[in-house]
Amino acid sequence: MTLNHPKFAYTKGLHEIGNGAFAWLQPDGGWGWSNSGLIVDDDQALVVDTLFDAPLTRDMLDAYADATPAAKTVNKVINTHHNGDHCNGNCCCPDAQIIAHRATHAHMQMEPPELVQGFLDAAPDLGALGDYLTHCFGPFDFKSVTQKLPDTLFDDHLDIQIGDKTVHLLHVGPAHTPGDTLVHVPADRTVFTGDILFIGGHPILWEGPVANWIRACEMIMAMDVETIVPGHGPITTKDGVAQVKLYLETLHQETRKRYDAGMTYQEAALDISLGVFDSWGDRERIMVNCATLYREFGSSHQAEIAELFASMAQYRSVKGTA
Amino acid sequence: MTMRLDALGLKCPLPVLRTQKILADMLPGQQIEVEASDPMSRLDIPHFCREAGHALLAQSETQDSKGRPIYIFKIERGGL
Repeated sequence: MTLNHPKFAYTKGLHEIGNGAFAWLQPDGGWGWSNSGLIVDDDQALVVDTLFDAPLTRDMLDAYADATPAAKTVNKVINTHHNGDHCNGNCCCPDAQIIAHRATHAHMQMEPPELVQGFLDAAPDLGALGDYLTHCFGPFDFKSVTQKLPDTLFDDHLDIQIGDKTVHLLHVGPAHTPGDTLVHVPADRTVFTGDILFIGGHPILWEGPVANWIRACEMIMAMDVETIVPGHGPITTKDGVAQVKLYLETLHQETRKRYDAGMTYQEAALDISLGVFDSWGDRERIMVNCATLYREFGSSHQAEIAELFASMAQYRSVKGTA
Repeated sequence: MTMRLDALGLKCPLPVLRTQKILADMLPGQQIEVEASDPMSRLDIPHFCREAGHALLAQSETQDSKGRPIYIFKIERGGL
């Protein structure tokens, strides 16, 4: 089953969507390897999400500027949510207006680049957990980042203009994170979904409830769009969105059965088989997904961040890294 | 006056849970120094402080008499 949009190869770098819209893709879409978008009209340029560190973001902005003169000056940046792989590179756009949902602004301050750098600094003393943290975050240069917070906030939705194009920002969280935002460009028949879509990789349910995430998938499927740019993975079609929705529904059902049977969330994650979805990348994220769903079902256990990453490291050691 | 929490020998998540409990009873602006020996506390305590709005004023590392690491976190209760 291919989830790729037939018009777009999944290769690193710039992809022209048409009508002044572009995507920047970073295969393989695993931890930290996120996508971005560019929307231009007249002399206006809007970037959807910056990248995990400054060098990666500068390379992308150079490519955007080479692709279209309007992108030599980025007027606006939208952060689809607060995770650093979608906003750390804001510091590379010093003159741009930075727009985000109010919860994204709040949570960016809770998850600054120094925090993740601190995880990497601790990694050598943490055994298998440290190896896993280095696998996830080691390729990135967090010391290159000066956190730049959004200066324009919205609560439910916001329409902005880029030249003659109207861009709709729609808050659909909390789901993956509290501030999850879809960026819909009707004139380009395109939507940039942030991490509401991981294509070919396991979604990670940091926040929930999962019903919000399923509803967000349904919202995308109801849009008049032809091109769907996920937060991670290849550009996709509505078939890809349907697969993510089915993943979430299946995960919910399978986790509920094991919660009702009295298993711990770790036992449930190790026991669950998701069929075709098991071949998607970063399978160990099912540990976080089960922990979050258990809280949704009523469990009082609040897993701390070290426990969550240690559980994912354990999953990889038991199940392998494929 | 800075309070002190001895979380040496405790396995995570106990150091952060004890820290959380004590901070809940403190007043905004008051400070606590936490000593822990589990290296996973270097993830949990900074993350907890960020999420809960407490200020991690300083983080350092020393050793006990047997050369084993001790992690020290100086935290100011948020909510001012």
